[in-house]
Amino acid sequence: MNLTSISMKRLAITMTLTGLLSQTGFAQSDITDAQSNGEWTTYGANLASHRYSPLDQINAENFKDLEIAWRLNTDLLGPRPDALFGMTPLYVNGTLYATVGMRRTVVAMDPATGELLWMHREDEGERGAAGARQGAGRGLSWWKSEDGTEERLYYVTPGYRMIALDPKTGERVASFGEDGAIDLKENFDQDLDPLDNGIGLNATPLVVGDVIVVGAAHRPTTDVRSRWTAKGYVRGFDIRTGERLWIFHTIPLRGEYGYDTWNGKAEENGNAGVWAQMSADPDLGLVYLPVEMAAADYNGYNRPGDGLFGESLVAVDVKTGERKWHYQFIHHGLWDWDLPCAPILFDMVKDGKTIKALAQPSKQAFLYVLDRETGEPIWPIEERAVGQSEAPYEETSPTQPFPTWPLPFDRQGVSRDDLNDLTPALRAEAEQVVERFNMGPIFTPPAIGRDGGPFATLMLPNAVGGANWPGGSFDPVTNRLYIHSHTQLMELVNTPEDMVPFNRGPDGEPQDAARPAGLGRPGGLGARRPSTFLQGSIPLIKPPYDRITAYDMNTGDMLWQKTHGTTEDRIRNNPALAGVENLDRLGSYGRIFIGTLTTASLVIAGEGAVHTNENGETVALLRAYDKDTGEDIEGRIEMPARQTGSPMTFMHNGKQYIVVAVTHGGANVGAELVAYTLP
Amino acid sequence: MAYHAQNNHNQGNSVLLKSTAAFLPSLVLCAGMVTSAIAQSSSLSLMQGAFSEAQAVRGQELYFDNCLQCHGETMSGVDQAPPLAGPQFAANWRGESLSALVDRMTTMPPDKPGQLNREAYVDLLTYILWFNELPLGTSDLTTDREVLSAMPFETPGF
Repeated sequence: MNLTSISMKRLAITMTLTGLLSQTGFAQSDITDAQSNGEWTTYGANLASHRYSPLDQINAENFKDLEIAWRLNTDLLGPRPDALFGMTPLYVNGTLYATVGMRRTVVAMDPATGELLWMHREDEGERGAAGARQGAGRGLSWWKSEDGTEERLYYVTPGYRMIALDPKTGERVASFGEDGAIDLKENFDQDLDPLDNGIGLNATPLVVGDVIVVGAAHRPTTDVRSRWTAKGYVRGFDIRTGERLWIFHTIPLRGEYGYDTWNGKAEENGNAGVWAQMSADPDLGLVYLPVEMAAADYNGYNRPGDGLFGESLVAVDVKTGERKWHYQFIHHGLWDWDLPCAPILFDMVKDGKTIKALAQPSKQAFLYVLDRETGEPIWPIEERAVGQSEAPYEETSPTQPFPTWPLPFDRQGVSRDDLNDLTPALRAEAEQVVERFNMGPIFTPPAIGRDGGPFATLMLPNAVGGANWPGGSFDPVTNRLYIHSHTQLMELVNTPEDMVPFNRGPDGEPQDAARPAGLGRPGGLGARRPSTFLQGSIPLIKPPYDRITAYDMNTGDMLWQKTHGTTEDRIRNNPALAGVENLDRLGSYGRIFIGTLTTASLVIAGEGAVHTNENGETVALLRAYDKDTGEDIEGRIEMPARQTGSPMTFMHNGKQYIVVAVTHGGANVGAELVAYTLP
Repeated sequence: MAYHAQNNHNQGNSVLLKSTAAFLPSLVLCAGMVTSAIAQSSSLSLMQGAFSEAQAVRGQELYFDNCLQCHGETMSGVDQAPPLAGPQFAANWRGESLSALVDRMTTMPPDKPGQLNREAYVDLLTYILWFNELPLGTSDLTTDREVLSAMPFETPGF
């Protein structure tokens, strides 16, 4: 064991916590100076994406005393409110920086009062409105030169341009690109109409030394018509000048590694972008790219083969973009299980050796743990046989990778054992409903749509997870990983029996009368779909519906798993559950995307859905958990709306704050940034 | 004409909007019905069948072309786009007026908002209503803003 880089104090703490010397996987000290100073200088708190702060002013004893310091309603800070508001701000140099509103306006704020100090607004006109990702996005990035003389903020706009700003004034830095902006639709190794609405990005660009790395997002490709989309290549730019340093072709060009996995169809397929946040190891000089699927989401007719590097994690050299290794987690994907979030980088000790590792959370609820130098799995990942599509045109992959360890953090596959059994009547109703659907284990492909056949295949995890873009958080002192996930039934729609090419040509013109499978026929609505909710509002599957899982990454053991959300009114108050006990905390059901924040002693996350409290107010709780045991920390902190952006924390003028984005939704959007502090 | 005696005032309203010169005599007959149609709009409920099958089919076509890509075949939402049916959608919009829903729809899709005409957005709305288990009626849902403002969104069951 190499003790030189670890302080004895940290070792002592770790030994006390874990108890066994032989099992001590001490964490390499990758807490940055910024984190130690109580700053939050990058989306994931550090380049390892830990979402961790060593601050402890807010702790288990006083969490219950938290009160709102200020609230900023962002609805008017753009042309329309942003109903998604999935942003995490930055705190650096005593200032809070955020992106807000549909136009992704950048604001600087006084962290103690929320007062706006400056605002930077890019009016991109038609091009901005045509972007594939509108809204505030995930946030922005910060850079400081090595000699400390220059600082900048960076973000990618809805119109897919990258802007460099002076953090003091919000003015563009003229020496970057053209007058402070680079057009990301140029220099992209493909021809893109400047007004093309197929591409955009809401993730923050990744600053690694003097390189800034940018991915791409696309319009969703639910139907096969959308095959001819742009390709989501990844690029690295010089952070001072904006000159393109490298490009990585996530769909390889002829002659490049992986091209042959497309069976000659690489040119006519698109997407495979990195819309997720990325991580980097500056010591190794590597950037880790979580790649999404190629188009289309549920149909691989146009892309026979494994299709590298779709649904793969790729490690590239930060200076050259050269691929060092890759690992594909899903071959020929049919479930929209893009890699959605940054891998968490950490060090561990296994068989007496220190390994630089990473853990990649996924929508499908697997946590893939690899050596981040070589891409080799830490624990075996097995290729196992999976269900095959009946459609003659779909070349399903015969196998998919299954990590043998750690265990998945959420439910996979659907069977009768998953049916709601809160009452015998509900169970009976559930049994009737599933008769009209197909069910199966994970990686069951879409069923064929036939008259009298199943309406769809019930699927877990959902196409939106499991886990999703928030990813997880990590405690580097104890090597613990925390991940929120939700359990939401998905109807995987049927695929047509006879595949008429649902294609548009490269010029966008439909080549035939394209119709999606499974729903109405032209001229008719078709039969009403059976609902996957019992008695109007109770999920077909049994709870819990969302959870936070803690892993010990020294061993891969699952330490604890807690149901997270308070039961929503529409489930709680359904007459079919009258008299049933223990209904208070079944978890939040639905599309919720929750990021956790880890501090010195707490795991903190807000609820993704609201409920009515004793006073008749609509609230969502900001919850805190004991890091070791998962027990609820005492305190009932009510937020005015549900969490939509992942929380962060910082120390400002001797006070610790927690800031989180919440959104009311419905007709009055109410996208707010809320700050909590002790009295 | 006998059908004006029916209770469905909405039908009277939409007949007026769509009537041609050939029906001029019935225009005169309908005028009183239209006034009372608007006056009684607050009693019109989605539960009683506020849109026609033909309209919902038009909405379905529009949905396939404009909305399906993001909101999904089962309106469950995909990635960025929220669901348009089911309890989560109902919880967000219950009690809000159909007019507010249409206003929100005109901001869609986010990268080319307001591209359809008002009639098309209302047709789309009826398909969404049908998907939310609301019953079919015998005539089209109006595009009239006043009438829609007085109609709250609700879904059957709990």
